[in-house]
Amino acid sequence: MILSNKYNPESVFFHSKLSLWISGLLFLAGLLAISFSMIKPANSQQTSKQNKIENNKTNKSDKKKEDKKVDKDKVSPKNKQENKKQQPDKNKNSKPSSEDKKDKPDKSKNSKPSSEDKKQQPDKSKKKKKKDNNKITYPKLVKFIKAEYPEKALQESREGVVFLHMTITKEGKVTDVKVVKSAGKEFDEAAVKAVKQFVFKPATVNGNPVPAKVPLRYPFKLSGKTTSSDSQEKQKKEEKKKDKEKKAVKLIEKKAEKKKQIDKKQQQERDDKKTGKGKPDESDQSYEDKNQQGDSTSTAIKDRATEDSSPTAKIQNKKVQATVEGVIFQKGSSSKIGDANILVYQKIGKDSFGSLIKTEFSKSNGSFQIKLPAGDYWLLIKAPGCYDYKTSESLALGENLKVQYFVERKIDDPYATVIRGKAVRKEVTRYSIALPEIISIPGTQGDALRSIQNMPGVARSTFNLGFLIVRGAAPEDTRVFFEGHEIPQLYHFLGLTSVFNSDLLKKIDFMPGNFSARYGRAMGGIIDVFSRKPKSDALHGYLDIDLWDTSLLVEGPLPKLDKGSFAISLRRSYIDSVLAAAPESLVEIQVFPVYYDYQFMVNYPILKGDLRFIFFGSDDRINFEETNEQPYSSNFQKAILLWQRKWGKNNLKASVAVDSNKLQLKVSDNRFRFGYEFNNAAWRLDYTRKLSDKLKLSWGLDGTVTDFNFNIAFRNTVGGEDNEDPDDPFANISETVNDIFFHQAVYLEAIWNPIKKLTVIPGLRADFLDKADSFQDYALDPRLTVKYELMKDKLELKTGIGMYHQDPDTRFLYRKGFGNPNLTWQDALHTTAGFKWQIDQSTTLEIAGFYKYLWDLVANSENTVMVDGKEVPLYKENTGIGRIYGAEVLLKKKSSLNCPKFFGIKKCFGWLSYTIMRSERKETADDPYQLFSFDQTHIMTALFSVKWSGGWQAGFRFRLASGNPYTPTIGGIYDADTNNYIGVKGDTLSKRLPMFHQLDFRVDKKFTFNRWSLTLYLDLQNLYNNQVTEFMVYNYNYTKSTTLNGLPIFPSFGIKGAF
Amino acid sequence: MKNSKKAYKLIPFLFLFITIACVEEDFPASAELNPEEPQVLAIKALPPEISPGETASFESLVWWPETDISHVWLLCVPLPYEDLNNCIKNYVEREGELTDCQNITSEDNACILTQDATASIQLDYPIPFGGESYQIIVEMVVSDQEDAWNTCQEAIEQAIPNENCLISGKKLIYSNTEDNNLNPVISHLTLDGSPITEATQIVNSSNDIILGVKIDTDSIDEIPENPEEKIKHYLEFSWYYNCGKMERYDDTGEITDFGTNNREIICQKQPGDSETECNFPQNYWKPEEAGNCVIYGVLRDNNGGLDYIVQSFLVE
Repeated sequence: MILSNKYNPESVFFHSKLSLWISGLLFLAGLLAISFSMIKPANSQQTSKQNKIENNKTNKSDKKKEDKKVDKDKVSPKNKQENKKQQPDKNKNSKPSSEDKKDKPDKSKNSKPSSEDKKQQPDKSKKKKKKDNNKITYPKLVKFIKAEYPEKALQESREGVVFLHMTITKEGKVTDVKVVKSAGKEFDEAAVKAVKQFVFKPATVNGNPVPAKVPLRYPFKLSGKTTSSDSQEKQKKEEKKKDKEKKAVKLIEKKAEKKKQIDKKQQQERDDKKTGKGKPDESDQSYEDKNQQGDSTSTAIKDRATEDSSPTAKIQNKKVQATVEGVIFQKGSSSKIGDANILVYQKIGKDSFGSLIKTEFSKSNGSFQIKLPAGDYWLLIKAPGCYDYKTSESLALGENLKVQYFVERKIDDPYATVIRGKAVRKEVTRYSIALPEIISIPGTQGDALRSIQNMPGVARSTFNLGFLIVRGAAPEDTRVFFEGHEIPQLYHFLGLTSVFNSDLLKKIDFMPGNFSARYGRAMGGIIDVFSRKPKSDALHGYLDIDLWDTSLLVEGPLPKLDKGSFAISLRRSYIDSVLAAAPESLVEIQVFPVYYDYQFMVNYPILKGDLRFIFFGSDDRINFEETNEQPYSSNFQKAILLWQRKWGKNNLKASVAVDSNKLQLKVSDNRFRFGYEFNNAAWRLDYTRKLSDKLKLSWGLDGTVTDFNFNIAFRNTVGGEDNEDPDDPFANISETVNDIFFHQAVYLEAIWNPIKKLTVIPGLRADFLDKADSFQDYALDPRLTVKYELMKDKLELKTGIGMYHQDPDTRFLYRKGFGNPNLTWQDALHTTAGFKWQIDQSTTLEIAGFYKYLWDLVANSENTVMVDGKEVPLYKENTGIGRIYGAEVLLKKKSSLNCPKFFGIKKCFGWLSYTIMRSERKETADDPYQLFSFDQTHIMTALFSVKWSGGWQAGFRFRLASGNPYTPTIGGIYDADTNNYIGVKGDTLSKRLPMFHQLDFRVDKKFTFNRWSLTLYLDLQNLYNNQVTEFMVYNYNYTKSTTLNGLPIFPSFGIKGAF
Repeated sequence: MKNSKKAYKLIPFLFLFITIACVEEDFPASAELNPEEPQVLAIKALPPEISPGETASFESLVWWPETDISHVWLLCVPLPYEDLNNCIKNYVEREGELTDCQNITSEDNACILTQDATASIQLDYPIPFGGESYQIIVEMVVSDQEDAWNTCQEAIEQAIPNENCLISGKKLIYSNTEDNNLNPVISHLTLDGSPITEATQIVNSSNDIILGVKIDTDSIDEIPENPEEKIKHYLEFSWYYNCGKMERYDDTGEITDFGTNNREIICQKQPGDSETECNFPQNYWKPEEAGNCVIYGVLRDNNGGLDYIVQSFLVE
């Protein structure tokens, strides 16, 4: 005996949507057909009901034929279609085959009904009693195992639904799990693995446990429902909140049910009159059940028999007369919603819901098709993370209605937040930035990469120029990678905005210290930026116009190909035009930055992985309005081809890149010229393999060949024209360098769990570098990170220690560039210890203390050296020593519904980061430590952002940071030859600028239309117009000084239309 | 007309492009002379370049009105990494104290030349550090006190000027070359294009006053009479004034520094040209008030050559 049940473990295990069938009541063909309709609510349902009607009309003496049909049907719902096809043949064969007969006794062995029962003839007086005796209970889940979200799907933010059939034994164990509808191999495997571990209280018939076959729909959604306990909680709360809404619907359904029952009763009475029976329809079924049981070995159960015996069901059994087909979109965009549940109700009167006619699910591309008899219907669409959508449709006979439905995402949509798997982090401190929330941080103007400046350990850059000063290190000590390949700059000039469109990013990893062996040649921190796959479901894009620039993004499926996707993005500034148009009395500005950037991306699945081509670039220049000169220009172009595949816990990523970078600087009418140009060809391979449950290994390599050109020129006095001639007689120094560099590194890292709570991550990295003729050297960097989970999912302790090497700035390796060819690696020892405490489901506290010791730093030298018989300055030596120590605190509340209960706030997020530290340097071991020029004792950022319904969002950011130390100029000595004063410096870094503090505010209003959305935003920086001292400036002879202040209140407003 | 000189002041910082309006105080330019801000306007070496065994003399142009000033002249042979701001200071830190120049050698590289208003020096040792030429620093300190040395000794030794001691310097080119550089020569100033010949020129404050300068092109020694190829030479002329305001009069592509009303030109001569092109553009001067005014003009080349001129005006 097989009991079949359909349930959804995602909601509450056996839920209202539970539908089941038991194929034991083989003798009742009509009931069997109803059972089918429960399993396959769409076409099959109708077919089975048709069967029932036909069977009722058929002579009951033809039971054997029906028995055979039902007997086959009970095997599995999948066979239904086959059965339907076989039906005409069966009808021809009025007698079952001998094989059928033989089969039956075997099956009966597995079922309780005795042979005597089989022989029992229908006895109307006993029908009711028999019905009562056939008490059936459905399997009840007692142990649910959450399926592990496939890592690859998680990283790619993919969702899916696996349709399964499982057999539950009499003991309640799950056997024979079959995938009926696949959602992809990794989803299928994960679902099957989890379901096999389910434990049930078995189904019973008359109190006797029986095996049951249960259809199961297992969805994988990027929400806490399946991936995070936090989101589960969120879901519960959400459900509670929506109870009221549901009540209204339930009320309607209740009324409809009542009416349906009345209809049913009336219908039964009519049927009884026709058949001469005095019993209700249920008795008929019992009667038939008895007969079926007599010959059957299994039982079919239909939990909504009442529906199918209702007039509605009868309507359904009529020939299909109309079709509704269409696509379900996410309102405000071109995204199509797959796996949305479409419930079709009969429409009663003007607004009332009648009985449920059909349920259908949209396909992955959002499309659906429902065949219905002509009539009026309510369609209720339930999609994950969306508000229920209700609409009525009137279908005329033969009509093929084509529709588009637009379902609105909830404000607290858990699917809009990037959920990260519990991947082992190799660093003691790594802050991963979830993009959807971060782009609305005030003061960042929607730029996710600028939000890095709000992270703990990141000092404020003067004028917000975008220098990345990480844990007291110099900006050049922190490297920025894009998909593992270094990029020369993260921000446009002056840090106005980043060089890559935030909307094409998947995540940003910021590692302020003790970073993995995957990264090298950096003593400060690491920023690795990862792109996302362009959307492939439909054409998407936006146009974002603000006061300073305009950006455009278009992405979608590759044309004329069945897979793959592309994205194109452009941004161009017009600050120059805006500022030039401003009244002189208001903005007295003569120099304007102009920038643009672009990205082109193609993603194509190949060789079970993803092949991605990314081409992007950036251009910055400064224009002098009056002379139309460009004293500064920089640009780069980069192309990356990468292929990535993940399977199980293994991951392989290979990539190659080429780029071209150029920078030119001309100062003081070409008195000083500096420029470089370099072209790179780079490669990278990262491979991670799980060797056992306790050990995972990562190894890889990265290398670069660089063609480097460098020029520098000092002019003794001013000149009226730009003379690029390197033999310029009016330049005191004019030097150029052209060289080829080679770098190769390999690394190996293990993630070892000797015991469950302990993770040990040892790593080793080796770098070889050949550059500037004089520098050919190796560096070995051993690193170690240890983590201990003191309280599961609550409190984790972590510590790390590691060696880090960084090669000297290239220009310092040339004497021509005022450097020393004998410079060698600079070294650093990083140590960090801290903990992460999950205070509640949405709040975490991270505290880390760090100490960095640096040596062999390149420092200025006053020593001289004999070169070709001439004494020349040494300029630079590896004599510098540094130390940096401090602590970081990050109290973070991720985007959640758990918000302050005022002003109707629906959702909120925020964080408080604080860093206290000291960064000191000395030129030689004999010197005393002095403050480093990037030292900031206190750095604090507090930000909070809230969402309301109706598309409103607002937030603030408050920052406070110690002023930078500076060396005062205490006088000037007049140089009569150049007609300039040479500033006389006071004690080095003996003074600090005043403390910086600033409040920023941002408000967004989003209007959502069917196929597109419009967002208006206002971003106000320095809301209370604090006069921030950024620099000290002096008069011509340094006898007077004043402050150079930062930006006053600085507005930015814009409009963004997206589809 | 926009004040582009501010932008140039910001160029070295580059990133300060947007903040001009944020500077709390707008300092007066060095060209605008006022009694509260004494300054050294020029130090002239005669000649600016000498060879071993030759003598150079030095004189200065100092704006310190209504004050008798005293001088100290010092000599310093800088080490490769030293400049005007640390040559004397480093010497004092190394050697302890400065003494009068007796037998000047490249080893004994810092000493006191004189406390007179002018100084002279004769060098007779090989070019330091084995090169063909070397720049030797001549430092001049002026004080409003009677004895500049006693007043300014600490300022000199620490290289920190103060309100009583102005420190300035010039580099004398010491070379083995035969064709040493000479000072350029100012021929005369012009008023509305005409030469100013009077010691005190009378002008009307209500009129537009257009000032110019003419160079004695014969003094541009690097430009020979009949060059075989195009020759060019940089010159800079700086205006200083104690009355009113001065602005650039015409803009014909020349580049002007912030704050000084400096004018830069390239004197050049093509093969076959009979005249050297060496014309400075003119300046517009608005004295604003009637009275006595002084205008100083300083001409520099890019090899240490210098000349200056002083012109008095009576504004009616």
